[in-house]
Amino acid sequence: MSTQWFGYLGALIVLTLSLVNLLAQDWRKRVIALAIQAIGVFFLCWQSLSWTLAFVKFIEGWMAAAILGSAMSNLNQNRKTSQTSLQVSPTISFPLSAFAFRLATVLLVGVFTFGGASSLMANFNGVRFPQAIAILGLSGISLLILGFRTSTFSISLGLITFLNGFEILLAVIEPSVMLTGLLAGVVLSISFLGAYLLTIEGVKT
Amino acid sequence: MTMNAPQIWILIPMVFSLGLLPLIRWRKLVALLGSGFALSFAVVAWLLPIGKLLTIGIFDVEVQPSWSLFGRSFILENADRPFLIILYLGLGFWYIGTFSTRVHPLFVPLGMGIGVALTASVLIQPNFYGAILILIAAMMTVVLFTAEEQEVFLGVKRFWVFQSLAMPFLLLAGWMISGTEANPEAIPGATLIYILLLLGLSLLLGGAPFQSWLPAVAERVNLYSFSFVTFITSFFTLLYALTLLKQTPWLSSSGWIVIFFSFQGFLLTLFGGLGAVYHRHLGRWVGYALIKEIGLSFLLIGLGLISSNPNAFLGFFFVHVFPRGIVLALLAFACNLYIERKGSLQIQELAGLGRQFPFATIAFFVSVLTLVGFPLTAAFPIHLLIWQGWFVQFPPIAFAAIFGSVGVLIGGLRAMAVLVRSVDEAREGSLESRSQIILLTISTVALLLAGVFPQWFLPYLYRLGLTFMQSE
Repeated sequence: MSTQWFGYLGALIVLTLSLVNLLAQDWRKRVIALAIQAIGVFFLCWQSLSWTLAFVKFIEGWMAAAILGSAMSNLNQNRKTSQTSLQVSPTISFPLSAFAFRLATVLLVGVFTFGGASSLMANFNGVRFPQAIAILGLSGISLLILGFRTSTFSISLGLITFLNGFEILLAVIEPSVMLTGLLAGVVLSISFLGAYLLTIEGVKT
Repeated sequence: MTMNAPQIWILIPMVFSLGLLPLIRWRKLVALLGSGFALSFAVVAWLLPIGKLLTIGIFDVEVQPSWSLFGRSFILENADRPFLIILYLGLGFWYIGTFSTRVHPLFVPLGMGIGVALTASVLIQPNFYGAILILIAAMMTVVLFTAEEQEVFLGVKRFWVFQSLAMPFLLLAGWMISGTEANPEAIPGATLIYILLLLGLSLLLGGAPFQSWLPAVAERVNLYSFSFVTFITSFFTLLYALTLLKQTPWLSSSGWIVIFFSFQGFLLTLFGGLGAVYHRHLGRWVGYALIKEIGLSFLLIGLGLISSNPNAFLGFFFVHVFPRGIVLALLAFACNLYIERKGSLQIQELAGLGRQFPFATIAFFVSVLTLVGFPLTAAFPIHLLIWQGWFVQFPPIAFAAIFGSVGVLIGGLRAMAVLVRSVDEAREGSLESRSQIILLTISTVALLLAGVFPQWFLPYLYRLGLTFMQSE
């Protein structure tokens, strides 16, 4: 399989899994989606970076997913322990209309993504079509996540998704070791901060 | 002996702030170490020239201005010393206040860490990397705010999201700017640069419509930490923007940039004034007053950009921040005393507190007058300069700036009216401690003297600003 196909595969992975992050309710599915999204980001960055530098994106994504997953797991464990005696079910209902509305906004983002891809490729030399749709798609869907969901966990996921899109663009235009390292540091800081805030929320509940 | 300036001003304070973390259980010790360190570094910034040979006894010392790290460099020149003096004086001033008011133990180490990250953001070359360091400072701020309240509320989430979204836009705009040397007409994608840069600056500086986090956060967190963080962050982020403009002449002469700063200033002073009039919470009032102050800074920069000598005019930026720093610290100190007594800053709960905290209330009143640029206060000369300048250029903006000040004044006077109201409980007499009275009196007198004798501080601060603005 040529590297170009890896690009399309990467775009398919990141767009599908960011959609899962927008629509899914179960935090486990969302953490797994974030981890697999990192594989897509790796494929897309690999188009423009050496595989060792692109692998940093993969490691960073997995570490971020692991940090957030651990924090959510601890939080859930604490909540279960405190709720066992009260027999309270933590189920949250998610109406079909909300699901349909989110899908409709995703369609709008899709139109913007495919419409803007050529403009992005024209403004930034070297950006390929699968990278362009991944950058715009991730940015659009992450803004939807940040707009629709206000929990700390969702904000962390939304910000990491937004930065993932941005990382793909920077991998093409500024493939420096320093920048790759700094951005990896920022993504990990966001996940650590998210985990810290989740712990505070857990202590409060 | 050769030393390195960025290592002195970035590495040493960073190691110091990390070293304070294990000591946070001893609050007074941490406050003492922090204030001593900050004040001594302010003196060092004042006395130690960079890039020149200095003879101390038998030693010849030279401080190098550049430090290379992973192919990028931090450059601290002699002309950058003014903002270091302001930073460390500010840190020292706020840290001294922690002896007499309630703050979270993490305030001193995290405050120092935030200061270091913001300093590094202005010093790093290429300039656009600074956006990442500002984000790191913002994340430390989120930790400080949430550690105090042990609660993650919507305002702080908004702050986190806006600051995180600003970074990619500014980084990308900076990267595109660094590839251009010509005039905007010759640059393909100049429109994209404007969009990215202006969106990034709005998100970063709390410009409209991203200003809502300010009152929302001020309502919930310790006002002393809030005032410190917002003062230092707004100062450095505006300095970051000014550095970007200074290094890119075609950008600073662009009409779009002038329109951006003027329009943002117009909106922010209006929003700040309106919000301040109708507040029911003293914390929110401080938030709205800060929105108005940020708007005023935008108007000052906008006015500077259209003046015949922008660098000379923008030197006033340093004059503008001095009274703001003292005022914010005093307001926060007074509000902290009120909240320690009543547990809330809801306006109706504050009735009569002025009689129990007379010195804090006098400081509050003087701060309100200074904040709005009342005649004979320290902020009056700079307010007058902005009002007059905009009246000549475009009167509606000058009216908006005055409206903002009037709004904040009305809000402040409403609070004063409640504070000095007579209630039975107020017969207890003054509840301030001796150290609180001393701190409040010194700061209030300094503020009044700076207002009556502006020639004592104005020329000196203006020269500091001019040195910074005229450096390459």
